[in-house]
Amino acid sequence: MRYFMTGNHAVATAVRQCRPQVVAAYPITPQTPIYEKLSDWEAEGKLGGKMMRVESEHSAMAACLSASLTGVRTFTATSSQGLALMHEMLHFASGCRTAVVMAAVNRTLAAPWAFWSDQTDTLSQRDTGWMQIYCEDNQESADSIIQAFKVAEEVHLPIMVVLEANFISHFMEPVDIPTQEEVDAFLPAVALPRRFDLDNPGYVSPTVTQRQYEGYRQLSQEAMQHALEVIRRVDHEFGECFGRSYGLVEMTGAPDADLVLVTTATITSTARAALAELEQEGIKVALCKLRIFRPFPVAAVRAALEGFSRVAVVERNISLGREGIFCSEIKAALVNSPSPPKVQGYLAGIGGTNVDPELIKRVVHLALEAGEFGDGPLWMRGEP
Amino acid sequence: MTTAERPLEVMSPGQMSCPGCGLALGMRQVMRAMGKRCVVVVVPSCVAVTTGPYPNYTLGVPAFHSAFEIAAPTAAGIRNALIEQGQDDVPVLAFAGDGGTFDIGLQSLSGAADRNEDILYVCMDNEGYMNTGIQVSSATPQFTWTGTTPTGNTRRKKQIMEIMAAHRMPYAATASIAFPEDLNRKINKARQIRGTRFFHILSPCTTGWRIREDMAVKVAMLSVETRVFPLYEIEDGLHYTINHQPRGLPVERYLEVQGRYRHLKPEQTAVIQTEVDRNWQELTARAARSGIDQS
Amino acid sequence: MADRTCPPCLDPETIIPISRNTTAVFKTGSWTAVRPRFVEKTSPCRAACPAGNDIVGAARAATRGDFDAALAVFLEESPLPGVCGRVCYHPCQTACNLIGLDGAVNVRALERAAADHGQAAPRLLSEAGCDKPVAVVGSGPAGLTCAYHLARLGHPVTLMEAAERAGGLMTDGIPGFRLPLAAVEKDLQRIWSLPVNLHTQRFVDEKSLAVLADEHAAVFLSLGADAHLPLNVPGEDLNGVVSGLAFLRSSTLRAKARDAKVVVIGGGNTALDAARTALRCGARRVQVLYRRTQQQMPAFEDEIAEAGAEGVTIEMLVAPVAFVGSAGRLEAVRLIDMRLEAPEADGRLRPVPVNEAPRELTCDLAIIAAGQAPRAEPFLHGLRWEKGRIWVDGWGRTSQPGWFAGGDLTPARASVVDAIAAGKRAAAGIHLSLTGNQTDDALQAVTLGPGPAFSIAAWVECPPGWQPNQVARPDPNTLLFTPPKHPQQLPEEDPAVRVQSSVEVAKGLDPSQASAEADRCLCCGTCVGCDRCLTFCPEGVVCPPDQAGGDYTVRDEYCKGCSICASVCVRGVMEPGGEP
Repeated sequence: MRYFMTGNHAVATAVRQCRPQVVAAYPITPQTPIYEKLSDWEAEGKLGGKMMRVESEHSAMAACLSASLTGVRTFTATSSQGLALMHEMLHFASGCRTAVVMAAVNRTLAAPWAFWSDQTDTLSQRDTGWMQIYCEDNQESADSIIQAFKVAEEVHLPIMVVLEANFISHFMEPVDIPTQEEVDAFLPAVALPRRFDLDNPGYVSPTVTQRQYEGYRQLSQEAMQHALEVIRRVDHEFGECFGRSYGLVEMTGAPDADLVLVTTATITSTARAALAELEQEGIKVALCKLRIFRPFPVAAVRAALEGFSRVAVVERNISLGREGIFCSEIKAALVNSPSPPKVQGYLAGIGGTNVDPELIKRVVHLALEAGEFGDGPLWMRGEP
Repeated sequence: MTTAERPLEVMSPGQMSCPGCGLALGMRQVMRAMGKRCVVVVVPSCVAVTTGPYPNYTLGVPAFHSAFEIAAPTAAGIRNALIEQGQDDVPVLAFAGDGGTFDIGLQSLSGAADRNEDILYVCMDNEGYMNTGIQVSSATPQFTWTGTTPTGNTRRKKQIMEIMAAHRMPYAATASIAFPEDLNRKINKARQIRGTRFFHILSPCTTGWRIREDMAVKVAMLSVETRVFPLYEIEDGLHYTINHQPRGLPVERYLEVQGRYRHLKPEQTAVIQTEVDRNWQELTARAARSGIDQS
Repeated sequence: MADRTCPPCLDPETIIPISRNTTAVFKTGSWTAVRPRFVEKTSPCRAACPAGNDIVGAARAATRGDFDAALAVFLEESPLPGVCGRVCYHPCQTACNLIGLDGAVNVRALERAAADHGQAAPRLLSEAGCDKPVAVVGSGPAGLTCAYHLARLGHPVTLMEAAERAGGLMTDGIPGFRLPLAAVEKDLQRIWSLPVNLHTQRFVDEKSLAVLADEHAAVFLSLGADAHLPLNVPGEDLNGVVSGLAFLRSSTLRAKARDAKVVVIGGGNTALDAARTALRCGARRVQVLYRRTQQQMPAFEDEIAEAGAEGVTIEMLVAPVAFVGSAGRLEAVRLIDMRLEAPEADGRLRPVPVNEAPRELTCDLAIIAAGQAPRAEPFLHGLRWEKGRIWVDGWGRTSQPGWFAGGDLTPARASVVDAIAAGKRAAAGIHLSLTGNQTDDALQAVTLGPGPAFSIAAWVECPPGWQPNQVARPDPNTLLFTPPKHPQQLPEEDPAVRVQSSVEVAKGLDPSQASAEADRCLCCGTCVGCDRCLTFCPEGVVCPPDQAGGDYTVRDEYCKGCSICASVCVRGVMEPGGEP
């Protein structure tokens, strides 16, 4: 059934339907409505499980990962400073091969202080061993939550479903909410290993040797790579059950254009509108939406972009000292292609500034008209 | 004592603690009282060293080695999960050092106590960061030598029991490795209580305190008998019970056997004595106000 | 993942490290070669007791209220617990490990309690083929003890006593308010249950001694030293000047004390006994005059305190130079003051007169108790003497083969327990010589501490693993592990009341008080199975005994040698590490 709701509400609803057993959370703008909605349902007896209203995000992740190790389904949500505070525990949750699911609402990281959308917070956690799904809208955010539980519990790695502050979290859109029975059929009861078993006692996460650590890292990497197939399969199954699937990447626009734009999240929606207008003007551009960032879908990205001569990556983040993170990852995925396209990065919407179709069209013109591409990103300072 | 009366040993021998380690002894005493039906959380500290490297460990019960500052929420997460799984009768106990309790772990401990999470939290206090050498912590008493306070610590020991009492959780207690019957009684009492239960166990460290290998228990006893470390319980943050009437020996008896106090001047000893006396007076006054008979 | 093959990267068992084995594989015993040792040893009280009493054993029995067993323990080493329980100077208590903490255990009161409240018979120690008869001359504590142990060892004993009854000074020297006759009799009755043939009113002279020596395999001389030593000052022959022992023994002489101003010359037990007896005989005032200071007085401290409480005044650093009187009757004593100078041969400081004019102190009765000496029996002339006494070696052998001696006759401390020790040592010496054994090494294994006390019970049957030569001396901090237990208060008669009669001054502990006092005993040197070593081992590798009374051991493969087990052992049985 379709409801007109914010992204936060949609995420909270999906979480409730997945029947979490331990939710540990700490409030931070713009995540708070997720936390509050879940609290409301808990008070009404509709949530089930235990809510831990912890005193910091770091403790939230500590509680989630240990609950997950005990063998229950766990969830948390955070953003920006909270996500940064969790950093140590994100590594820990991955290293312990837990199945924690987290909704991460992209918000600018201080300093300076600002409260709007920016992807640097989740991208800074790129190396922590978490799977990351970047969602375009409220519907995809809700659907990705349901998929995420299934993927994480099969692959034994934690996963964050990323949605942007304001544009997704607080904007209201029509969202198709499945029934509880449909979700139960898709996502069965948790069957995670119970690590603290009185009948088979063991000491989880002891000190290991260098060689042993190296081995576990390799196993985790193999699991990450295996996860690509699991994510693709689960997304496909979701499509069969609910009529919506999103893939690892999504290609639209003119397949025979010279230029392909690569976007993520809400900028994708804006780019779709811009491309439609450009098509009216006779300008052929393709659009590649990158959805799964970790594990990085190298093969899918290469297959999507190889045929183009120019790639323009438009993103709402920067790794200071280099360029936008998606751009670097795209370049790295293409470098071993037989004839890799040129790639130019464009920074748009950093700090939560508005990215409108005009800005996208300016990017397209710049990308088509540039002689050589530069190594550094180009700042597209839009209207405040 | 007969075999039937002796508590079952839960921890295996062959542990990696220093010879004569007071902390290892304390762990062993706590585990005897807990028995095999529990889950234990361990964080970086001498507790973790004692527990042992992969694939061997001494604890004998399901356990988890989590990060330094999060013993409390980790234990809480496990306990809440166990309850969700219908394993309501399996307690979860967290061991942490003084660093993980007084310093870096204080926030998360406070949060757990405030939420009255259903866990036992046992602070094995060796008054410094001993796992990493011998560095000062906020549990290190005044004038103490450590590797990072080579001329003596200028700060006083944080009053952790008062901090915990302020949370008004059901139960907090000090205990000593030199008084095993008292420790055992308290652990068993705590096991019957729901909510956050906090233990502060002074654990003399042969290496860091510069005491002879055979002295840990004796030094612990002297800490109690000189009133440096009184044995008492606080229920609901308000009701104080003193469990042992110390002989009230002068603090010199405690200080003179420790190399970390070798440099003390008489005026410093006098300051220590004044502080000990004041804290004892305050404690006895609180116990009297509590109106509970002294045991 | 039951229904599909699981790649290793997804297999829950292999994807994270989980330790499932114990640390028992780490043989931490290899970290050091040091191992603590379980060694039962002698308590310091027992090592200090000349009679070698097993005080710990007696205290353990008394703690559980079994005074019969406690008495039996005393009777293993000494026949006179009722006597010692009243008049011993208790060197055991001075050695008690608790003396610096809550106060020494009142061992003397415990011994008395065992004798007063318990019933037991002396245990025989007979070995086959050692039934050679022995003669003992003098039935004071030395002679009685020698007879007692020899009889236990199977020897028939002929005991000769010149007086009307047995007991020596115990019956006619120590006054009844300190040592009631009934208490002495109770101890003596047990001795008569053994093959000891007592012959009273039989004075032994040279000729009868030769017969005795001929008819017996050995002779033990315990004649005592009851010959009065005069001061050799003018006026000593005046009427009213008497000797201490004579005063104590004669009711006629005691009657002279009524309404008299009495002075007593001397500082030993005889002097104080005489002083306190004089008070009880109605003396108007009693002053003890001693030429040294109180610290140097040979009398036992308890007695000095009791005498003072009763009103006896003691004047120090004063000596008589003459007794003056008229018509042959004493009227005053002339005194000079003394001061102490450089030490004498025995270590005591030498008193010398201060050069001032003497002063006179009026008195009606002067009791001289400045020392006794052995009576100059002819048969003693041929023996070697030393310091005014008969010389003996460590086994009581005199210079005459076959003749042994002990007690006040020899240069030992003049006390009941030292006499008991001498009698016991001579009994062992006699028995060994009659069974053809060397004495010197034979009893080394049962010597208590540095000696010379030894355990005759252990000599016959030594407890396994016990090291009697070693004395348990735990570190004072170790004693703090025990909770404070304060000594029982001994009831006493009010001094003003008790001088009206010869009622016994010390009342003794009732059974429950005695048990409480015995409970204070830490049992130094004997493992009581408290499990402290086991409880406090950080490694959990101390093993309890596999049968009752056995040793605690450590598991060699894990023991790191820290020796906490020894540091918490209140009895001092667990010793800190040595090489294995």
